[in-house]
Amino acid sequence: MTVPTFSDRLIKRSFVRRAGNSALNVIDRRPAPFFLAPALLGVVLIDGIPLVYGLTISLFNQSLSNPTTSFVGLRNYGTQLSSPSTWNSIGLSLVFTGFSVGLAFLLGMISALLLNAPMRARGVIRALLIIPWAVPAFVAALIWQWMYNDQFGIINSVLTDLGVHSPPLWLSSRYAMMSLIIVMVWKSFPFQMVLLLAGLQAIPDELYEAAKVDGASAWKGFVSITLPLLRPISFISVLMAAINAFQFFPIPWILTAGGPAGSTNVIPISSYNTAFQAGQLSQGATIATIMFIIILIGASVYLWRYVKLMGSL
Amino acid sequence: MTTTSSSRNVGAVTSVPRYRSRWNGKRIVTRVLRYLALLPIVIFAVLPFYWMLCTAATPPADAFSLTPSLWPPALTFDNFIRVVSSTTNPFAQQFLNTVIVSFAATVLAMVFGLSGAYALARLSFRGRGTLGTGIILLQFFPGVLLVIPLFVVLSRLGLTNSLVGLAIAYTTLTLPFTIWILRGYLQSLPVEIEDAARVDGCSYVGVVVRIVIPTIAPALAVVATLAFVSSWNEYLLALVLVNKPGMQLLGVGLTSFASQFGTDFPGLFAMATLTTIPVVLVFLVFQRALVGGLSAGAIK
Repeated sequence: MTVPTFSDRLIKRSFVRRAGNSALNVIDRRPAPFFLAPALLGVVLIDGIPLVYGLTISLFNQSLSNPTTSFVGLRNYGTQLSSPSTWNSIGLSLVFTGFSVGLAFLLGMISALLLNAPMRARGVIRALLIIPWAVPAFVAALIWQWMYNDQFGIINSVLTDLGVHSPPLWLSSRYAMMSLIIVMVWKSFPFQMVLLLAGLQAIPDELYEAAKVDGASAWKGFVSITLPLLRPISFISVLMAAINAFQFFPIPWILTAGGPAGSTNVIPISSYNTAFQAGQLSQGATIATIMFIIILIGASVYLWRYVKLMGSL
Repeated sequence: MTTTSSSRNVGAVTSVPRYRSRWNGKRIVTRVLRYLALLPIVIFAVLPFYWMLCTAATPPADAFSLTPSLWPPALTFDNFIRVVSSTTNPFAQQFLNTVIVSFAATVLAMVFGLSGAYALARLSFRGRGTLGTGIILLQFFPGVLLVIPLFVVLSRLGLTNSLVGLAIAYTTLTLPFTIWILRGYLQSLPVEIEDAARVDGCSYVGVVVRIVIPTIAPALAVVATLAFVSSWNEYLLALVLVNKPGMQLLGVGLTSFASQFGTDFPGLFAMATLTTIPVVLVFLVFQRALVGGLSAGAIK
């Protein structure tokens, strides 16, 4: 990090600094508050205050129907943490996040490795693989819902043509979570691929050439050069993807809305339903806060293990 | 960076070895295997997108086939004309709303983000490190945690069912990563030119306008793309903060159309196609810059 203290001192002494009372001079005397003000206004007013307020709401008993509220302390947390449905939602969210991030990382890694070589039509293939990232999540959910349709859907039609006798009912309580994970993998693997591809391309070729000279096989080169050097970027892309998946709303909401029979009732759906369908704003905020605490603990443990493994960030 | 003979196909940050089109048996086999391995992934990635286009171009009478085929029997543009010109369908209005809100949120995030990033990267003040960390941490906050208090605050201010309220809410989503990426980019640039301009009597505002903005133009393009696309694709806030059909954005508009007119799949996917094409185009145009900008921010 470069702190321009020396040049600042230089400038303060400089003769060129003009006297006067214009607005620009006022700014120049104390630049930091001026430049920070808009960002702080943005961050504090529209991120910070709602966050603190959200935590506060979870300590009251506010609801859409009841305008008078009173302080209830941590009672909402007691209610939520002693309810089996909360723990069920946490479990479902962990399954959804774990599988979708793991599979998207795997698919992103395979695509990045395959694309990381000079080949014809590389740009075109990469562009085609990036499409799912650009498609809005709500459109993705609508398309997959239509493809999963058990009567008119293309997936089961193709499966029948391929000789599958009773193709699965994709959005039934038995398969719904798997179907959501497939959509999430589709939506999120290009992000992993792009970051891993950038990581691969930053590895100098000399390393591989040296390994080749020393008689190492291609596989050995992959295990002892590629994988270790991809670790920092993999770490970041997995962390970002996991945080994103854990709180992801549109795909579960549009495809199944938590159903059938609560089989896909992940935490964001549970929080939304509690706050806006049942009108229990405070209970919904409590669930959201619990979700946030889980993300915070998970991310801290992950960061800590990473620092222990790598020596530094 | 190495120069490559097939620079057209190679991304911005490549260091791949020189492409030689020499006839070599083993090499050709490897290359064919590479394409064969990529084929199922490309099909997986493209098929849903292709199926949306197909459904949008299918005459409504053919959409409900018990044996749908990957090759549609007939193609038509009528569905697109029907949804755009309909007087009862608010699609055109919702499209306009989405454009307005996405542009406003992008501009707000750029102005606030640039000045904040400049302060964090270049100016010294108390609490600079804490503030930088705090802004990175903001990215971890779940949208669902923000949506309840935002709903309460904006409804007290009378800003629900309003495009202004939505633009403000979207800025909460885009501002933290805007600041983060621009700050990272600024820190990777030498400070000497800006110092020289200061010594020569240029004001801070002048430095930002004349030197910083032109230098970081590529990063600004990346940030603007990301901000625009993430506003365009947002769903949860639009669902909670707006409930009048005329004020809705495309996400909520499409899903409520789907639940209201559940049988008009060609109409639904004609609208979905019109919703998706702008962002896919923006993505493809800025693809390279995006990859470069994101990885620069992430590797740092």
